[in-house]
Order: sequence, then C-alpha cells, then structure tokens
Amino acid sequence: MIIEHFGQIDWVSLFRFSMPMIVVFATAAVIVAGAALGDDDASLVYPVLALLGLAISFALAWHLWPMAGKGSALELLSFDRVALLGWMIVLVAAACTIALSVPYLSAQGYVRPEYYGLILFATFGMGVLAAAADLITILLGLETTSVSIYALTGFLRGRPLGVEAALKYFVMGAFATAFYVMGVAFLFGSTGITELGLLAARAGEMSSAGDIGSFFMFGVAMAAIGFAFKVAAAPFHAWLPDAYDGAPTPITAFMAAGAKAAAVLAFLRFSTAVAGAAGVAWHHAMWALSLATMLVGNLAALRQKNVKRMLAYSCIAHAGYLLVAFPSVAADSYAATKAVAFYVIAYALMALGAFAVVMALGSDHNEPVDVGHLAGLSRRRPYIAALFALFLVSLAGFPPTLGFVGKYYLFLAAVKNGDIWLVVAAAMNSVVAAYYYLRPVAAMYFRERKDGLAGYTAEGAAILSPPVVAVLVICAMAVVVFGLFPGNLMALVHASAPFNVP
Amino acid sequence: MNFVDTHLLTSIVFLPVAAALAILAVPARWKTMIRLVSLAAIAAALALCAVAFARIDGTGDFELLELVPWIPAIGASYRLGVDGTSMLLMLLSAFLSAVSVVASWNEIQTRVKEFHVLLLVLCAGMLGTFAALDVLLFYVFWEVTLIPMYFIVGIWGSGDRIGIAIKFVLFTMAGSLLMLAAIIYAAGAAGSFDLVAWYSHRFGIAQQMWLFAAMALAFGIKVPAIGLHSWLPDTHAEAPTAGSILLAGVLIKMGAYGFYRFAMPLFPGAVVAFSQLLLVLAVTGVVVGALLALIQPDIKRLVAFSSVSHMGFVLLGLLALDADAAGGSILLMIGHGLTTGALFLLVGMLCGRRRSRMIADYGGSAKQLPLLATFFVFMSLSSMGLPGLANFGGEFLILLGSFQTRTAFAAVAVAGMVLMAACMLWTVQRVFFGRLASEKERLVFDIGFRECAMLVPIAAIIVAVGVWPQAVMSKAWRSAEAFVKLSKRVEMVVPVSKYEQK
Repeated sequence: MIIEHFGQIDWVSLFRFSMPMIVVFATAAVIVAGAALGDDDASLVYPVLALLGLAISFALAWHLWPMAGKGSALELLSFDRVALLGWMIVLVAAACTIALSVPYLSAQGYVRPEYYGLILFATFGMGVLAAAADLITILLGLETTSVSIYALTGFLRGRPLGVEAALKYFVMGAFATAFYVMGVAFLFGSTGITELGLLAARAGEMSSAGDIGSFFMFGVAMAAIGFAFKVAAAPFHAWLPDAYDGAPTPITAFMAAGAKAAAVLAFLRFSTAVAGAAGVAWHHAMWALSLATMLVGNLAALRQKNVKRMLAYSCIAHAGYLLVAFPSVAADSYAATKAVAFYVIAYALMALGAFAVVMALGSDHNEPVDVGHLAGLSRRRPYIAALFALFLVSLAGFPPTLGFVGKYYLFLAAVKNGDIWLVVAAAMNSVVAAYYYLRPVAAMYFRERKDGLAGYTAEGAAILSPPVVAVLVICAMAVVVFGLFPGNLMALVHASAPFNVP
Repeated sequence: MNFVDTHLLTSIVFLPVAAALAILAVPARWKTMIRLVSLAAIAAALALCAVAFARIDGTGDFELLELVPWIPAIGASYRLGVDGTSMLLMLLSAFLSAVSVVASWNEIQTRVKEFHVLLLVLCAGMLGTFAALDVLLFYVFWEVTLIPMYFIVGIWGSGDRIGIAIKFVLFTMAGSLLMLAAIIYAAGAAGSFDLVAWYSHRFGIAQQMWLFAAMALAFGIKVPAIGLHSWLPDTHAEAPTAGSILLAGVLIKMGAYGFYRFAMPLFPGAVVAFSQLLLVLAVTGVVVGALLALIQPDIKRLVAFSSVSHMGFVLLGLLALDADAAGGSILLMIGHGLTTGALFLLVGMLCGRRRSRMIADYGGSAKQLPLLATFFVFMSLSSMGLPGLANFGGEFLILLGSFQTRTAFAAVAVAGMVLMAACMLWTVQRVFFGRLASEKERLVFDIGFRECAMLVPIAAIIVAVGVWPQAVMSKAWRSAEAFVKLSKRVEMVVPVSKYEQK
C-alpha cells in the first residue's frame, strides 16, 4: 500500500505535521548520545534539555492543531486533531514527570541521563500510538512505549520491588502484544488490510453484505484483548498494581497520565474502525468489560492500605469509567470521542497531581505511604494535605472539580446511546470509590498522629522542591479552574473530535 | 454597589465565598478576627436576602433572573432566579448560618480558620441550591454542600465522627449520582438544562417513571423519608452544634425543596403513580419518627428523630397536591428550621455545660438554668405545634389541605402530632423538672448574653411566624399554587384509570 501511495504523498505536509514528534525524538537521541559520550555528573543539563525539547514540541503541536485535518502520513499515522490533542496531553505528562524526577532521582542518589532519554522515547512512542492509523503502527507505538517504560520501571536497580515489577510488567506486556499481533494477523487474513480507514470501509462492506466471518470477529476480539491489557481493563489488569507500585513514583504518574491516555486513544481509534462491523457483539463486550473493570478496580482499591497501591487500583477503576463510553462508539463516535478525550485530559491532570503528592510524602528511603501514616497530616503539612484532598475529591468525581465534568461527559455519551444501566452501575461504583478516596482525607484531617507510627519520619521534606511545587500547583489550578469553567477545554475537545477514521 | 444592585442573587451566593477566600489570607491565630469576618459576611448576605425578599413580587414566576452562559458546549448556563418559596428558604439558610457562627463562637476552639472557611462554603452552597434555575448548576451547588459538611462532622464532631461523616457522604452521594444520571438523560430529552424549559417539556410516561424514581431517591435520602433515614440521627447527633443546626435547619429542607421544585412539578405523570407509595412513607415517617424520638435516651438523637417526623409532614403536604397543604409545607419548613435549629442550639448549650447527652443524667435542671429551661420549653412547644408558634400554622395548613385530598393519610398523621407532643413534653419533664439528678447540676451556670442574643431573635421570629404567618407566606402562595398546578397536570387532564390503561 505504501508503494501505491508513494507518488501522492504530500511530503511537505508530512514533514510539517511530524515535526513535533521529530523534535522529541531528536532531543532523546541527543540526550542518549550525551550520556554515552559525556560523564555521568549530576548536572541539570539533561532534564532541562528534555524539558526544552518537550516545550518546543508542544508549541509546534499547538500551532499545528488548527491546521490538522484529513492529512495522513503514508497511511500509517493520521495527524488529525485528536492525535495532536493526545500528543499534547502526553507532552504535559512527560514534562511533569521530568519535573518530578529531578528531585526524586537526586534523593535516591541515582542520577542518570539515560533516564530522561527513556522518558522521551516513551513519549515518542505514545505520540505514535495516539496518531497511529494502521494496525502495524499501533503495534510500533505500543512497543516503543512499553519497552521504554519496562526499563524505567526497573530503573532503580537497587530496589528489588522495582526490578520485580519491571519483570512482571515485561512478561505481561509481551503476553498482551502476542494477543494483539494474533488479532492483527486474523484481521489481515480476513480483510487483507491493515490500514484503519480502509479496514473500516472494508468491514462496512462486509457487514452490509452479511459477510462478517468468524475470522474477522476473532481478530477484533484478540486485538481488543491486547488493548484491554494495555489500558488495564479487567480481567487483564493483573500487571498494573505491581507495576505501578514498584515503579519510581514519577514513572507511575507517567504511566497513569501519559501511557494510559495514549493507549486509550489508540483503543478508541481502533474501536471506531471496527465497532460498526462488529455490531452488537462489540457493544455487549465493551459493556461487560467496562462493568468488570469498574468493579474489580474499585473493590480491590477498597482493601488497600498503601496509598500508592490504592491509587493504582483506582487507576483500573478509571479505565472502567473510560470504557463506559466505548459501547456507544458504533452509534455515535463523535460523542464517545469527546467524552473519552476529555476524561483522558482530566484523569491525566488528577493522576499527576495525586502521584506527585505521594512522591512528596514518600521518604528518601522509599518507605511506602500507608493511609495510617497520613494521620494528622493536615496539621503538619497543611498545603500538601489540602492539595491531596483536592486531587482525591476530584478523582472521586465531586463537583465543582474537573473529575466531575469528566464523569459527566462519559455518562452523557453512554446515556445518549441508551446504556442507562451501565451509567447506573458507574454511578454506584463512584459511591464505592468515594469511600476509599475519602479515607486518606479522613486520616489527614480527622485523625491525630499516633505514637505507633513514630518510625515514619521523613515525609520527604527534601523532595518538596520547586519543580514538584510547580507540578502540584499547575495540576491543582487546572483541576479547579477547568472544574468551574470547563467551557474552553470542552471547546478544544469538541473541535478536536472525532477521529479521522471512517 | 451597582453590580450588587443588578446581580442581587449572585452577590448573595458568592459573598460567603469571597469571605472564605479572605479568611484564608488571615493568620490562623487571629481567631476572633476570623469569627467576625465570617459573621459579618453572613450578616451581609442575610441583609441582601432581606432586600431581595422585599424586592420580589411573589407572582409565582421566577424573579431577579440572572443568566450568563456557563458551559455552552453542553447547554448549561449560570441561571439564577427565585420565587417566594426559594427566597424564604434562602433567608432561612442565611439566618441559620449566622446563628451557627455565633453558636460556634466558644464551642469551636481548634482549627477555627478551617471551620469558618468550610462553614462559609457550605452557606454559599445552600444559598446557591435554592437560587439555581439551571438543573446542572443546581446539582453542582447541591453537591458543594456535601464536602464542607463532611469535614465539619469529621473534624469537630463527637463519638464515631469519622465513620459517621463517611456514612453521611456515601448515603447522599448514592442518591445524588443516580439523580445526575437522571439529569443527564432529561437534559438530552429537553435539550437544555433550563428548568423553565423542562417544565414545559413533555417527558414520555416511561421516562417520567425512571426520572422521578431517581430524583425521588436522591431527595428522599436527603429529606429523609423513613427507611432512607439511617444517616440522619447519627450525623445530626455527632455533628458539632453548628453542623446540627444547618443539617436540620437547611440541608434536609433541600430534599423537600427538590421535591417541590424538581421531582414533582417536572414529572406529574410519575407523581400519580408514586404518590401512594410516597404518602405511605411520609405518614409512616410522621408516626414512626415520633415513636423513635420518644424512645431515644440521647437528647440530641431525640431532636434528630423529631426532624424525621416533621419532614414527613412536609412531604405529606406536598403530596396532597393542594395549594393550602403545599403552602403549609413551605411554612412548616420555615418553622421547623427555626425551631429545630434552636433546639439543637439549646441542646448544644446544655450538653456543653454538662458533658452528657443522656437524658437519664439530667433532672431538675430548671432550678439551676431557669433561662435555658424557659427557652427549651418554648421551643418544645413550638416543635409540638402549639398555636401561636411557628410550627402550628404549617401543620394546620397541611392537615387542612390533605384532609380534603388524602383523608386517610391525614388522619394517621394527626396521631403523629400527638406522639410528638408527648415526646417533647416528656423530655422537658425529665430534663428540666423533678428532683436534681446529681450534685453536678449545681455547678453549671445559666445562659449569658451571647447565648441570649441568639435565642431571643429566634424566639421573636417564631412568635412572629406563628402569630402572623401571612407576612411570611404572602409572597409564597402563588409559588405554591404554581407548584400544585404543575404537579397536578395529569390528574387534571385524564382520570387515573384511563391514564393507566394507556
């Protein structure tokens, strides 16, 4: 196919729209080269360089966003507005991660330039994923992202927990990829196409001819399972708590905010292409997947004592909320895309904030922060406690925060499609979620510090440095301001959706 | 002042928010300063409420309208407006908030700053709930009251305050999230969130059933209807005095207001179908609430259960679908807010002196506390509906109206009144008369100037409402008539049996 289209490619436009990604890739290459050639001193050059690259890329993407439309590169990447929006989310997540990482790594005594290079490579992969318009490019994006994050998860070699997490994550990730590739093989076998737009058209033809065979359905199912692994939908979520818990906390934030956003957007793009042809089966499967994911995530989070692990499980629950919009993709992909894109932005900001607090509270020695450790925090660290409470309340979906608006949007998409009972189930799940989100709040504000926890001392005074404060303030401002006045953000999302697929 | 003049309702609602922000800037150790700012802001809001009340005509239409686009993408606006009823409830909210500030002057000594910030946000939420004419805006204000009350109960409460605070949140949230689903659905059907447009929209009959059920559940939890009331005695009893006053005085009125403004007039078809069930719940609430109050050993829980009984009356008045009865419900809401607020205030004073809430620990207190006993007897008489005091007019009108339309239910409700009288009298007798229960009684001092300054105005208003209810109701009658007209739409057009055959 590439060959067929070779003559028609608008090289200028291709170059122009891939420029933001090229910038990040080039920055990553420079950092890695610098790391290989230069000496490993603790200088701030690398993170600053990385942030600079991200900032330039963001400016370019912002500039290109209004012009983005039907353009695509070699039928492999689609530079529509959703892709650029997703790219910008990923950039923000990466920038926040780097800001969090600088003090974290120096507190760990493990400052290595490759770390920043890996973050940028992962960012690049996420960008590919968000823009991928071909089953093969999706695979490339998934793998570029995942491989970089495997390495980042186990980056602190001194921490057995992190290494174990990386290994688990790697094995499960490989498993997921196998499912996905199998799905691609079957889809290709039944249609002869890997490009999503053509696939959607071909599937539509097959569907109207009553010719949807079991190979096609099997391929869709396998690929969907691969995606379900990547977005951590139950029952394919088992890797997530360990990976999130074991990874360095800034990387956990990155996974929750960036990797999840990119994977969800890719999943949605794939869904947009195949959902119509897969019909009722797709609707029911997504319905069940969403319900199971919400239930598993929330019920498991209820039992967690460790705050980081609790947030990890809640991340599964949020994947479930996101999936609430997926059954409606076939009927109204515009509504579903708006809802998902908005929630992805909202969740990224909330998760970055929440994990930043967890990092600021964790001591230099990686002591886990248990809910009990938070007792009386509002007296000792009133600002941190207030910010954490804000993020948790937003994650629980109370108005007037961003979390509420996001949830409203998802429910809207599902209600429009007639999935009322799914919305009711999601609403009841939110009640369960409120219980565990408010538990740390209760500890921070309602309890006094107990003597039994005297061994816990640090609360990372060292980690609360200017970049962390900046991340916290930006996320908190966004959560409140966009919670009260979501108009502009909604307009951005409205103008971005839908995908350029069918 | 020009802005205040043209945006009267906005000024009322956001004055407390501005004061809360101002208090955030005040150092926490200036406790008196904080209390004064808080009181001044609420007093100013109260004064503005009085101005607004004087300014409206009481035509039954919404007045003092304000409209600003808020989230145009989903059709939500910042739309405020009041009729006589909502204006009365706003006056009540502002008045009881001022009482709460004074009531907590000495009671709250820890974290004074946080307390007043939360109280002011709560006040703004309550005022906004009654002023909102956009359903989404209403929902946001409705939920905004939840978090401050959670903190007020959790931080300054007594007993198992943490568990009870979370119970309060989860109960309320379970209802309100289902209501959110209903709101989203109804907004899709009606095309916007404009309440007035919803009134004229004809919702399909099956839609009405589900929408009404979801809303009635949310409002029924808040009122609380019997069976959904289990959060109420715990929360009312363990909250600090200010929290109890506002819970009993205003927050549960929000539930009744929800029926009055939303659930019943919007879905008249469902009112026909559900009215028997709700009437049974209302009347059961009247009787069982009084019986439960009768057997409480804890004086604060006793007052809490008396609220269940009175709110049953309010529901009965609304469900009678009679203008007299609906007007009576409004009057009883005002009367009950004042009376029960004052009772919680007095219980707070009594228990603050003796450090016990058990009725058995008291006896003969009138000898040591003549003034307090006088006020308590006065408020109890008002609570049991003595003619000439606040509750009488409301209860009388409710019975008058409901005897004509729902005779059997009204007859049962009368029994509840008798039980309520027995309960209050017996309590007064056990606590204030008879022999001194212990020598500790001699050590307490009667109420002083600050406490009288709160009680005398409340008592004066209670007498005024009781003697001249027309002054209160003059601007609310037309609103009550409009409510009945809207809620009775189906009953008037089609006889019930025919309607069911459809």
